[in-house]
Amino acid sequence: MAVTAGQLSDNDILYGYLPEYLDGELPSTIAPKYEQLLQTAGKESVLEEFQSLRGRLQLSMQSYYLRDREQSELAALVQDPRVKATVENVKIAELERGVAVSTMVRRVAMVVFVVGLGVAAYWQFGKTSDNTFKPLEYLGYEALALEEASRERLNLPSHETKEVSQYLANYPGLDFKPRMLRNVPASWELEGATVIDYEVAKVVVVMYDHRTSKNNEKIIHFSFAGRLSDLPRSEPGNMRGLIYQTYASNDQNMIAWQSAPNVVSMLVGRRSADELAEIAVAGHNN
Amino acid sequence: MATSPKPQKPPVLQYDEQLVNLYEERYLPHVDRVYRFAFALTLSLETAYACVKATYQQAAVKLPSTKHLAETGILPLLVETCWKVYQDAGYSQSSGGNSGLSSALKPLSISERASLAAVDVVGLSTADAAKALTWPEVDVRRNLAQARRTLIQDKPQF
Repeated sequence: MAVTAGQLSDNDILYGYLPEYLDGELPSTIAPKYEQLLQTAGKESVLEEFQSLRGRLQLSMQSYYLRDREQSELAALVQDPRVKATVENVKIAELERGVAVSTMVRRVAMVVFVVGLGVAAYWQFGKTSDNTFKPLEYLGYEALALEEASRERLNLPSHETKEVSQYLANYPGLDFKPRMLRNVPASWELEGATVIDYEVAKVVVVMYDHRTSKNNEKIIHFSFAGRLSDLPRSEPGNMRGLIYQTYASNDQNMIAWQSAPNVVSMLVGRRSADELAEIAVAGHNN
Repeated sequence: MATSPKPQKPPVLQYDEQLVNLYEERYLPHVDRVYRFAFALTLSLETAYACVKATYQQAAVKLPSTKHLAETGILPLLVETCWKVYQDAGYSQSSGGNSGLSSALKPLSISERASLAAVDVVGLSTADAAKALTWPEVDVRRNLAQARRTLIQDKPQF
């Protein structure tokens, strides 16, 4: 129940509510009378003396405090100090175990990270390695596929040498000057051209069809950026100055030569290597 | 001469970790304030400590029943307990110490010292102090006013 001014003497009000007055928290039942009492008593001196008194009282009291031993005695009221020590030791042990586990987890995570990094690096560089252009493998397969479905696989089916030449010359993104055999023997007719994009290499393809062949015999001229020495070594051949290397599968023969300083040509077909070399030589001669 | 109960080793209570933590984190931080309140009553450091110890013994025993008490209610509860301990144990026969502070407080009545210490030293509101001391608030105001007025007029050195 709130105290009213009527319950207290003037001095009780004046000295009883000093902190509330200083903090601006006088109750509304007291406030009207308080200022008047304060003026009568000498406002400044009463407030000053009270603040000084309270400050000194609190400061003096603060020199009284319990020592560690006394505080330990009070703490021991709810827990035997030996039990407390044991509990603390258990907590410390748990903490140490936690730290050890955390350290182990961090180390494992670090190892996983490093292994992951290694795997990522392997994939990154391994992928590059795997994606290295392998002309013999890739173009042997392409030659078979082109033989079977030349119409679908040639981007430019054409018998016109000029048209094919322009197509190849204007093809975007080629990092070499594409080659084609211009003067192949008359028994071979230009059938068209395309460019195969392997991401790691672009290969220019020019296909010729044997005019009189009953089984649509083809020869395919591939050219791509590279060096002949990049290909696996094989028995070298020399057809009137054209130095070539010969490769063979069950179905096809393949000769490869350096058709320009940075361009390798490959001619693939079912003819013998010598015949293919003859065609290549003829194709290079104007 | 100060009189204090014959020292007895209190039984150690068996509490779970939650109550032990409650006691250590909510009750023990107030020991110095309760000690100063007890000193204002007994005017003796030794007796004040005995009073505080008995206060905390009682608080510890009642811990399970007061565990849901709001944090702001713990200090008033300790002051209330200390006041009861002081009255029940007969510490009021204390002749007091010789420090400047005890000399300054000695002219005040026990009611005035209790009110002054509860409000101006411990920091309770007059309402909480009245509840702890089990007096009407108006009495606490009167005691408080008398104690302050006496000390302001006497201008004791402490």
